[in-house]
Amino acid sequence: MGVVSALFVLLLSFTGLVLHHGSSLGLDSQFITSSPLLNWYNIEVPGITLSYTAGNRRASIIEQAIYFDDAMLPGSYNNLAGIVESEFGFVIATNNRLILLTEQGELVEVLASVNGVPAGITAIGVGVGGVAILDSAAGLVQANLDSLRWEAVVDAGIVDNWSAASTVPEGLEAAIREHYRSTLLSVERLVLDLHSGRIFGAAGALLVDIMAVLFMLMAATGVWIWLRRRSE
Amino acid sequence: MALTWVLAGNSNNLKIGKSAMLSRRSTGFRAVLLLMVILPIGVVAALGDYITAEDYLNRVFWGELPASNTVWLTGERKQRAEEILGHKPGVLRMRYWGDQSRSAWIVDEIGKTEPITIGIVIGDSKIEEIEVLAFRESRGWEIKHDFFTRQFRGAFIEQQQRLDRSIDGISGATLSVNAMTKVSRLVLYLAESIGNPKTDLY
Repeated sequence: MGVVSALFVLLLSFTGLVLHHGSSLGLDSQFITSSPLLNWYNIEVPGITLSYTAGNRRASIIEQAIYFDDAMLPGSYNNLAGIVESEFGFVIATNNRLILLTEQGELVEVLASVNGVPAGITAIGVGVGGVAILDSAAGLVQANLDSLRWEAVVDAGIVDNWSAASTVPEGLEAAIREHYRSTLLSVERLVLDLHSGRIFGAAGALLVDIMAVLFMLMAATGVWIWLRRRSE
Repeated sequence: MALTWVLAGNSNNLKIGKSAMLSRRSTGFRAVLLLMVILPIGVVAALGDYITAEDYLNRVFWGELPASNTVWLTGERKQRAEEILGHKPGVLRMRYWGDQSRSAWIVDEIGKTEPITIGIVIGDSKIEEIEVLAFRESRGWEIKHDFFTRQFRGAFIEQQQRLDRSIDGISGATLSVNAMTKVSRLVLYLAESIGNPKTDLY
């Protein structure tokens, strides 16, 4: 009984200590990649929602993460409208943002409505001279990404090529889903669940509750005994 | 609480304490109930976009929005930015509205796991004002309050791009406080590059 409570005290104190310094230890930015643990949490990875190619590079969206080939881009996005090549690299369009990337896929800037990006973008294409054209709620818009000028386009014929969705090749799909899966469970979450007992569900949490009450009782009754002894 | 009453009951000296504890319990109890109602409302109200980028820029430029331009984070600037932020900058260039004498910047910086959108105005190489435009985490949003942000007013950078003053933190919001401090230092540093002929070259 004493050994069991000693083990609990050790576990709770150790995990508590670790959690206390979670940020400086970087626990919230380190993730669990172990399959058995991810399976224990029933973490399943959804399929890739949508994917487009430009040149020989691919943009895909899985839940709220956009991948450029197999590299996850920073940021959270609700949808993907397409990708085209541009003079400095690539442009990925979502319904209200334009993600500018270099040839190597480094993030240059994310343009939003504050920069004049039209709302409701459903498609992106390339027009004469390699200019990006957006199909938006306000109609066709030509985007000059250097000067941030947005001009209405009347003639849809100037678009050579609209970015079209296509299926992700198996190898890349597996790599993306594998990577995405390894971003879902942080070390901090795991330590938190160990500390609270929730790693074993409601039963585990109840057990930790009982241990906490027992520790409180031990402390209180211990003081009581001491007080009684003192007054004898 | 029950245990303390038991203890009190066993000692004559503490009998008065027990009845005093009973009446404290009623007001204390009410206070706890009130907090339980207010706190969740407070948390819900704290999440999300407080002000859009457009509205912010309109306010700080009194409706007359100047042209925007960018500063590229390459070479030495990239290194300094990395030193200031404690991580590689997520973007290759940062945008500002205005010019050398007065500029406004809108920057995203991760607090704990989600980005905080911060608007900052630099005038004569000092922070004129700084504001949280959007906050996306459940804790740390206290930095949006004026009592915290006004510490930054008039701040400038000295050696190693450190602020000329120390910022009093808010307990429980350390990561948010750090994010805002880092963004201040970075923007003050980058604002020095405005008008410098080397700025807009890749």
